Amino acid sequence: MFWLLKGIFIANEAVDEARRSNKKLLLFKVDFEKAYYSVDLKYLNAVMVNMNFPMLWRKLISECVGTATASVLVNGSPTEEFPIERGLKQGDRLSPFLFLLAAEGFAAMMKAAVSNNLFQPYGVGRQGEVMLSHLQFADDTIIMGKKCWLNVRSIRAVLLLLEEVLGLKVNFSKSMLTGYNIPHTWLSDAASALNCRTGTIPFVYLGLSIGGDSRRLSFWKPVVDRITARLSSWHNRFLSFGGRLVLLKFVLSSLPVYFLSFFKAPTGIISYIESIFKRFFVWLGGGV
Amino acid sequence: MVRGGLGVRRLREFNLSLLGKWCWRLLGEKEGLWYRVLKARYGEVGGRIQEGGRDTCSWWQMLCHVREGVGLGVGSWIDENTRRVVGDGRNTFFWTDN
Repeated sequence: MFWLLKGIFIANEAVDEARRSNKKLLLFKVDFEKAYYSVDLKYLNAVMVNMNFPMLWRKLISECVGTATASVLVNGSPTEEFPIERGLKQGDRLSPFLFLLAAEGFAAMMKAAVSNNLFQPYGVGRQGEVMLSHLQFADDTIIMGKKCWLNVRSIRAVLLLLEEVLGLKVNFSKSMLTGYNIPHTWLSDAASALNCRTGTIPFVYLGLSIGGDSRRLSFWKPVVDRITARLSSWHNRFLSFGGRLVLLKFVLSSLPVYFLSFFKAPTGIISYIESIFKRFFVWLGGGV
Repeated sequence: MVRGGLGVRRLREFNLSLLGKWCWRLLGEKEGLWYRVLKARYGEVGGRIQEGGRDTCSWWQMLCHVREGVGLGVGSWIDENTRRVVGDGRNTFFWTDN
């Protein structure tokens, strides 16, 4: 989980720095089309060979992903089973990590673009000493750079190459170009060159809002809404006291953890969520 | 310490402990990109990221407050409950570290 949070943290910090110190930051959020389904398993194996994974390990992985068969229901009766040739299974715990291996190709291309001066990364710090060019977790990817046409062209080139080589298609119409301290006309010109739309900050990356203000109450609305929705469904009325306790613990331990491990909740929000919990208990006359 | 209860977590303490984990990681993981980003932005003195001035991001300011225990009524809980093992002395300073 910390891997996820680190990525969010770096994005948040870079965006915040650009806003406060008037630096020009160009940000492109990539949306991969059917990301997990389109990974070529042969390519995945080739990446693992290049990354010096031992033979046994590669065999285990290809057992895991490659020997599955599927069949389709046609008019209620299953067809003959056929082997899966490409694609990682959605919901498989291994999939995000295997996808990372596959997406290593993207990281390699970005690195090559940076070292050949084809892409100018964004520098954090007074002298811009720490260079950020891209952030990636599973299929959620952000490209960051300075404001220049070279970067726009390179983003386009890298993503098209990616599609050619890995079969990983970028959905340009769902991707988003945004930035700080960049004139709007420039941004929309660049967006139309990339064939994508312009976005706004704050935006959502890996499920958390980047560039938002956690001290505002509106920031916490999604969390509160999700808790309320989970606890107020009608069939919870018929739960026993023990059942309600288990549900409450489950909701509490799953829903807000992600938010709470990154942002400090204002006192108002905490007491509000607690009052929802209390109402959930007392409402049915169970008493706490 | 109060014992008993139904085992439902208290949100405020839960929130603080999750954020405290960040402070703990700050002490250990100095190689990561996230640590270098912080160092570049706020500067590091004696192995400790500075709080920064006016330009501090609200997130980092919040974490500094958690680290120092500002407004929590628990003192500086991170510093009081961690200890440093002196290794080769590169990260430890006689006069400033205690």
